[in-house]
Amino acid sequence: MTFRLTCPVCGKRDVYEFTFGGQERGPRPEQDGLSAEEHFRWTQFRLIPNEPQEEWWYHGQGCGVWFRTTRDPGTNREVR
Amino acid sequence: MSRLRPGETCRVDFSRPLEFSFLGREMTGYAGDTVASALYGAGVRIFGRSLKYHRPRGLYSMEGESANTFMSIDGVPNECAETTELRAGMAIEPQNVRGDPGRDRFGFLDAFDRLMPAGFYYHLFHRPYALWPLFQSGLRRMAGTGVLDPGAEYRNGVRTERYLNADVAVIGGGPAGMAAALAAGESGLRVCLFERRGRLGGQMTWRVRDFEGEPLYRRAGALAARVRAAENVNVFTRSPVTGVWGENLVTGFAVGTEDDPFRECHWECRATTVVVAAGCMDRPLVFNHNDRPGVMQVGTAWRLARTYGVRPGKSVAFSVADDLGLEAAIDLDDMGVRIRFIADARESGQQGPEVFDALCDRAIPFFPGCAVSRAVGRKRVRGCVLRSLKGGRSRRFRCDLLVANAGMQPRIGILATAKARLAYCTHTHGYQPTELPPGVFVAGSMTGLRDPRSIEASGRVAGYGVAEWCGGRLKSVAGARAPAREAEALPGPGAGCGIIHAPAIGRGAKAFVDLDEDGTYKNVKESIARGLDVPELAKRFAGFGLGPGQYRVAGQNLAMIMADLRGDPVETAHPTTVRPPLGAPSLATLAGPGHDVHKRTPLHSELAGRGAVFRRAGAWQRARHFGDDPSCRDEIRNVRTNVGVLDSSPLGKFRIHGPDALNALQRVYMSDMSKARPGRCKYSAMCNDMGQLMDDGVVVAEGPGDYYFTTSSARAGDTVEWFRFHTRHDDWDYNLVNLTDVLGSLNIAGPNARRVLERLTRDNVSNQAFPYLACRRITVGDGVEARCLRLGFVGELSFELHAPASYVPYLWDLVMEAGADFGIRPFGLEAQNCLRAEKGHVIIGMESEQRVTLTDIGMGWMWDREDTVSKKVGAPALRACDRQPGRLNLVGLRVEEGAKAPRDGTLVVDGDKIVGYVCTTRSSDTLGWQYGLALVHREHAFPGRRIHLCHEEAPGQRVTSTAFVMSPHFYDPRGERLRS
Amino acid sequence: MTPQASGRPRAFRRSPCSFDSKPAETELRGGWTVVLRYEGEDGHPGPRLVDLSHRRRWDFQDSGVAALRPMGLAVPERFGEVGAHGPLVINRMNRTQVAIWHLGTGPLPDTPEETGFTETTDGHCLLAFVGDGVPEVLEHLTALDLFDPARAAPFLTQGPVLHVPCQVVTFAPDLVVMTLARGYGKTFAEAVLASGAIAGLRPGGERVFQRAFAEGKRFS
Repeated sequence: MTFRLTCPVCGKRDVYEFTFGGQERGPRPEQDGLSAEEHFRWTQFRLIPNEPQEEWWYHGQGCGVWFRTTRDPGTNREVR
Repeated sequence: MSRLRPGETCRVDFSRPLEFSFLGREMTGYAGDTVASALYGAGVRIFGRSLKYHRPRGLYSMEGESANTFMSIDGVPNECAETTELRAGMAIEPQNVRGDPGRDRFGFLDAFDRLMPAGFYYHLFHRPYALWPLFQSGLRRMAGTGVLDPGAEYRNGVRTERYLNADVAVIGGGPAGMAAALAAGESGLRVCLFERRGRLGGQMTWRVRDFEGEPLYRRAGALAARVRAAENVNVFTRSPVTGVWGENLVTGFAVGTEDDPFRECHWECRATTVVVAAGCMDRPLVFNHNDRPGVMQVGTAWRLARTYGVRPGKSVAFSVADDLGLEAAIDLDDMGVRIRFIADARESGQQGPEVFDALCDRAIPFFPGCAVSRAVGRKRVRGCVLRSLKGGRSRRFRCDLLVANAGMQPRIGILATAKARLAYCTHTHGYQPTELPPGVFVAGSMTGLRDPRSIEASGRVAGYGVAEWCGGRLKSVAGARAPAREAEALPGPGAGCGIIHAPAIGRGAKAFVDLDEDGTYKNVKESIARGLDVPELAKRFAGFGLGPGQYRVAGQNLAMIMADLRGDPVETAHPTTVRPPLGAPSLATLAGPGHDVHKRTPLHSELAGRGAVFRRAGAWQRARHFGDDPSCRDEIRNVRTNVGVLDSSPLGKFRIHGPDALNALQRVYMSDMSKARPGRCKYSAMCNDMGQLMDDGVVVAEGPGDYYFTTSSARAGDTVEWFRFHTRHDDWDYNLVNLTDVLGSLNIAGPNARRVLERLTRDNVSNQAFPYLACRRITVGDGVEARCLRLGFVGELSFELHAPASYVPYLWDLVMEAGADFGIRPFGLEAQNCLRAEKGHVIIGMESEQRVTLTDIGMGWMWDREDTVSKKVGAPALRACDRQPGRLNLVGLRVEEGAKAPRDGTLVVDGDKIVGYVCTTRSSDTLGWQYGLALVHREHAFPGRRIHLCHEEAPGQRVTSTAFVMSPHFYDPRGERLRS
Repeated sequence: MTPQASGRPRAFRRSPCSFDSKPAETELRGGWTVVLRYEGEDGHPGPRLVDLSHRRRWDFQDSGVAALRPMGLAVPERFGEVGAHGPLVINRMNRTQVAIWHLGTGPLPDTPEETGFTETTDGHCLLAFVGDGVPEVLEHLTALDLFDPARAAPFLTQGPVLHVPCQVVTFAPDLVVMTLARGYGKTFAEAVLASGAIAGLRPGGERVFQRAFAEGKRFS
């Protein structure tokens, strides 16, 4: 298995140059009055859809930039 | 044996004989021979024995499509004789044979086939289970291919790897592939052309048929010369493709000749587009005893004669199903090989007019609508039986070679790995792509084209199609339309032959669908009878296509036969999945050159000179200990009583600057980082979202919005990623500079540390001017400026010098010189580990793990609980776990004497319950007893409690001991030595 | 901060990598022993590997870097663009960051006072690939497309070479310069020479690099 990702700085590169940062799940919740359940929902709970999802990737072997991309985990291809 | 002199198509140089041995017998081949052609030329007809039945097997294919001719060459098993080029002095042995393949001891097995139905090993031998190992070793001896010698070195020669980038990868160097490469190259694209054979031209290199005034092989030669001269076209021969992967990554390997600087080279080509022009191969005709030595593919007989100048037989029978087979027979006849007859599975009138006329000019008996139904002869073909496909009478002929096929089938492997959708085409009677992945093009005879002009034109169309796909650099788009129009005017794909198998199949004889795994027509029936009625299931049950030839021999026939036996139309036949690797590089090649690229500290050679024993720690090679005492007693004592020096260069070192630098620090560190001050080390730690300790280190303010901080060595590589990830939604303006490699680091530790430092610098390093946890810039030696941090990880007075890496060897010399009077000596990671454990300082991953949080291991004091504004990573989890029952806590242990000593990892037990484990334990000279750091359940984690420890010394042999819980700060609990 | 107190020149500083070849000509420069030429180097047209780790380098980061002129140099507009200004080369790494390398023989600037600057000379091993056959050598080391004809040289590529993250600047098909973390220097250079040997790679001195750099070779 291999696919490529489009780094906003470096362009298309092999996936093994990148680290996966999980689905985009919105900004870190405010901690004032944050219940344990809300916290764990934000950190742990994921839906695993068979459709394009927004993801974070880190170009660790390259420019060292985190970026967001929309990718279809069914085909492993990015979608525009 | 005398050879034919086929003229210009021949690639064998008869002036250069090469000696080799087969089964110890001396033989002669010629430069340009493959091992198989040389053996055949030397008169060898039986090349080996089959996997299961030990039937004699001969030269069947020419491209490694079956395992018939796998040989052990110079001790390396499973070398494909058909594709391995002959070298002088090769020692060749057949496989799966006892003695001479003509008189194999296990040959009797063929008569016991009734005891070995399809999948017999699944339902026999397994009961009683205890007997299986016995059967297994017996089966292993009787069945199988080559034998590996566990003591042998197979990693011989230079194995290398090569990475290519191209706009187009053309797979197949036949006429279509060459035309595609030329068209794409002319359009300015970067082209890589991969050909598995030693030279370009494909089938055209051995065809002498006239084409527009010149023989085809000359046409091929001219095309090849143009391709070689083309500026943008990079040609790779002897380079089989192993697969096409996601987004057109093409992989394969190149086999080196004696002139190449490598033996085998694994390559990967990242291509925007791929042109697959892999060509065709014979579809085997399934008939009775179709595996006898002397039965071969059309291409095999033809190439033996034309390419290698070997007379394939004295009296040759042909049973074919397309014009190419007829052309081959006519050509062999022209070369003086006696053709006994030609049978054509097609009806009369379906032959091409040119080839039919040529046939009429010769006195060769021609039987349309017929096929060979049986090969006669046990160890070699002595004759054959010919039958009409419509039934009726049969006729027997004598011959010593039977050339048989059911027409041609496209080589679909590459398309299949590229994930093209394939379907059976009832016109060409082969699999054709119905949907191609983005950027994949197909050209040449694999699309069913047979006319040489059409084949070339299809390549040009693909080449310009590729150029259009890549866009931009195409010189003339209008020019690209011309080849398409031209191609339309040429003959399209010819009608193929849909013959499924020869008439009168079975009837007490074996008809092989798969040669490698001895899969017969009868086995297909058995598989269907058990309800395993599709190729994918039959493959698993009876092994069709699992051998080295993979899908190539069995694939299409198996699908067609199964559809036929089920009574379904042949177009419903789905072949089994083709999986990479399509070719077989050696494992040594896949293992690669095996470079060990790792990090070394600036002091590597100095440490090595003092007898360091190195060990990998993450990316780094670090000194574990010095000399031959792994328990490091002297190193430890020297630090406790005198002074030692540690190369701590892998320590993570960073600069963070910018308006939001403090915000970022507050986010990832658990303490209130606004308290970080210039000239003072603020110790803190990072957690993950589960409150687990991830990293610790010190932070020093260096100016407004400018900080210097350290991380543990293991985390240095992840620190930038970590900061950026946990602030990714904040749009903060801060910059990180990784100084880990910029600065080397030396830790001078021990009661005499200050006295050593005083000799290195004129700066004031007294306890008043430079107290514990201070950070100063000092000038060392001849003016090297270093950060000096007064820390105490090992529990003694210590100074850590951080200086630019290139100066560190110089600093080392200064320190060793200055410390010589005190008997300074280096210490390694193990000594540091013991020293810090005595002090009760944790190492992440040793005393912390997934289940424990910062507070569990007694470091909760640093957490700024009031701060919710910074949204510290891990704070919510720490809050949630705060008063949770059943958590593990870090405690110190004093092991009671007398019992067998516990070890790292020993369990803490309460009756039959596991209530924790010992993380680190050592017998300490400093303390005079054995201490331990352990994670135990909270209810046992109070000082004075006696707990039980248990581990297995050997399987089943439990050792128990007891210990008392105490504070983990065993050594200098008030920290007086750190501050001295 | 080169040590000068004792007055006499000394080789205080050590490069992260070293070659087994015998130096024919060396020079003591700023505390470094610089090999200008190795024995047997002349008359060898093939590719050469040159250790330039002693050349000074800086990291400059600022959220507004695009509008600034660090060391007086214009910041290249697009990511991956490289500006060559006399002895200095400026690489645009990403939105906020540039690297400045002093490669040529011109005047050596001091580290500017601006907070954005960090001197990173000691953080890298800096290697140059010079001469005919450099593209083939690099094909044995990395899957990166370092000779993409669609890009205008010189250009920067950030990515793995022998699985080690590198910054690679392509000046011409026969001149490529790369940096990698200093710690890898020794074993990386050994692996490069071992892999490059089949394409004829050998160690070279600084002079062969200076000649190629001065010629200002670019893609034709």
